[in-house]
Amino acid sequence: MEKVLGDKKAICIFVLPALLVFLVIVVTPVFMSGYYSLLDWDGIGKSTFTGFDNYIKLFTDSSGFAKSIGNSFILAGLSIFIQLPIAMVLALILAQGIKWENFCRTVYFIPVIISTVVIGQLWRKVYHYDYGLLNSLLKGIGLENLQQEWLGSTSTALMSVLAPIIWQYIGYHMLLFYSAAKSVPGELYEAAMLDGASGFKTSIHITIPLIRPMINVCITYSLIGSLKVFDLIYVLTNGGPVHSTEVPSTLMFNTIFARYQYGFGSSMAIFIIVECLLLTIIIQRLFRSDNTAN
Amino acid sequence: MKKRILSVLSVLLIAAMVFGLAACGSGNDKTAGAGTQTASTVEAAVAEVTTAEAAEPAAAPAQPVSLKLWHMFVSDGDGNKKPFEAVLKHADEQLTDVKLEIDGVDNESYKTKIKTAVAANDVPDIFFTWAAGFSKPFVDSGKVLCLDEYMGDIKDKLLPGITTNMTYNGKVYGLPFQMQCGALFCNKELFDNNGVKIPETWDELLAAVKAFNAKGITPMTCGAGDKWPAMWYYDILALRTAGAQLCNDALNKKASFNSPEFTEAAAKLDELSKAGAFGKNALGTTWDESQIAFAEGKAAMIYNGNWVAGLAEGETSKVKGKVVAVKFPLISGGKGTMTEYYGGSGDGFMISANTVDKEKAVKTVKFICEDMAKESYLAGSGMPGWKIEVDDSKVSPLVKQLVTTTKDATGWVLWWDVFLEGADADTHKNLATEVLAGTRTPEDYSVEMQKLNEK
Repeated sequence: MEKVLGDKKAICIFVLPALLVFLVIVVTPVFMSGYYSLLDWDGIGKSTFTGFDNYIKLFTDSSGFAKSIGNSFILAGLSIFIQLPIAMVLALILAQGIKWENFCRTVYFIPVIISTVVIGQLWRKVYHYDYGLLNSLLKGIGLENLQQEWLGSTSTALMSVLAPIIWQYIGYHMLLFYSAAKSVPGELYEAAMLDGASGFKTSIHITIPLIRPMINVCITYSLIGSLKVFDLIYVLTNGGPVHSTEVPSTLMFNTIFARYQYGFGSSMAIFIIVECLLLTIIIQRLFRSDNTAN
Repeated sequence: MKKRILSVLSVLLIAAMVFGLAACGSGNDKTAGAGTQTASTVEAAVAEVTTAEAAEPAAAPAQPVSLKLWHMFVSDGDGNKKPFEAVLKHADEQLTDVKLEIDGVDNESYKTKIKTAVAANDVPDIFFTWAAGFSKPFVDSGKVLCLDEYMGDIKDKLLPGITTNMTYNGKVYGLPFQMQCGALFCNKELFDNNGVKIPETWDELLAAVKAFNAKGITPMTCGAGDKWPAMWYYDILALRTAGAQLCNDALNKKASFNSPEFTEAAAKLDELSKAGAFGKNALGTTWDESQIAFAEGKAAMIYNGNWVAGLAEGETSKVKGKVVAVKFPLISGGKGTMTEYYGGSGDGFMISANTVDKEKAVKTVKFICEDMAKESYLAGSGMPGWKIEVDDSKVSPLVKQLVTTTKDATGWVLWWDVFLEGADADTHKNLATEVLAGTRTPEDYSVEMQKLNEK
């Protein structure tokens, strides 16, 4: 086995099939989209080459792309500063080995396993104006004046759509943190306990510093996930009402399939890819410089 | 300890994979689910028929041609679902030399599906589609069969002018099966119980809106979340303020949208919306939810297509026999008349230019369209586009009323989102929805619409 793994030719042969599939299915379409994004094309008929016009149009045209980017950054901000801390707290509590540990872990993870369309339909019902859980609850406790047309009003729709997205992935990040916390050697905790550190203190001074790499991974995941979020928004509002919940992916989808603007839509796709790559690199840099500083 | 970590990690890995699969699959769940389900039921039916045929030896010596057929009559709320199932059954029984491979998905998904298929050069032999601007890119790309040379024997069977919207560059490319038109459906029981008069004028309409709001009943339901139902209210208002001639001229880029008539229509929509005509949550309501609200008797009025009759008179409806269809009120000072209608022949079937057997595909489409004209009329969901002779004693009075009403038509305007092409149609729907939502002024609306004509 050692011999095989040391043989460069063997490595090439074993990697080749996967590499080919990856190239054909992932890399080629990206480059094709890159080419399409330079065209004025309806996806069916003839196309004309327009250079970077589509990219200029992204921010000058009335398509609302800039606003959709803004919305995705709001989601990214909420994910990093609300979702991850909640996930972290849950993970640290669970990792200390409380009663019901396995049960709680499973319960928190359930939203991640349920299909997004199902979650979307559930939340549509929760937000329903007439019989929705939320409005009924408000009515039940005498707060009728707080009842809202949650998904139907331009002022509440965005937050109403973002809440389920944040809620859904808490379990996912919690499990990542939890598994990292569990891999911290137990001797460290024992030593800290002997020195008189409380559970809270060991979490702050031992667990969190030791699971930094996982925090890095989670921040990257939730940032990228927020920037290219699509499914839940598509099910809940499809970008409406009046574009108030539009994110780049829903706008791209509608541009291509409702408006027949294949070239323009492709330029949005390329923009999302480049944006995600750049931000990933920046985050990696930030974490690396932090590490060397310590 | 190490074992513990490994097990946690492996659980995590599996979860991540499941999650990945779920995320990838979810977008298409609806579509695929609906499609396969219909495909399989029909296939089962086909299989039954084939076995029946096989039992009689030498009945059909030639191998039947296999043709792909795509449609969108799958949703339970769609009044055309049952008639189309009947048509497919008839086709199976009577067209023995053709074997149809049926695939159907719901309306909104179908729009995406058919566009993608045409773009990918994977056009089904026979496909349902919308007329005018929606199918124009298909025809322009040369992927649709021109039907001119096959029209000979059916010209007399079709209602005059019905193929107009499927005619491109003077040639017919598709066969419609029905006429459709908008009407203001009123729940008579709600009107009577609350002492409200069914509106005949604009002022009476506003009075009705006010009266129903005071009673906590949604006056006019509108699924503005799907955008096109909101557009319907704008378009009928424009038909009343500007008249059919000016509407068609503007849509054909021969007249300007930036004129007082179109601004007036937007102002009227704004007025209705501000008066609370569309209830509290129009923007968060989908089309399906809105029509169900009407069929449940929770809303007093709905302005939409004649297919509402199919639902309102259907078995599950709570308003069966209580609904009347009236013409949308005139607006004083407007150029529109009572004999101008919103609708026409807006959909039908087309054939791929690369179909395996043109003759048989044409024969099948003719059969399906004529039969569908009958069946949808009998089911109360459509107004026949063919001259058909059927015993219509069982057809609901509401549908008969719609068919006879429109005989006096002096002008038709097709739905704007079907008439206009891709991006323009979407822009129009967005603009109309924004007016309804109160985020765009009527003046601004007209300016933006005219930009479409000046491109």
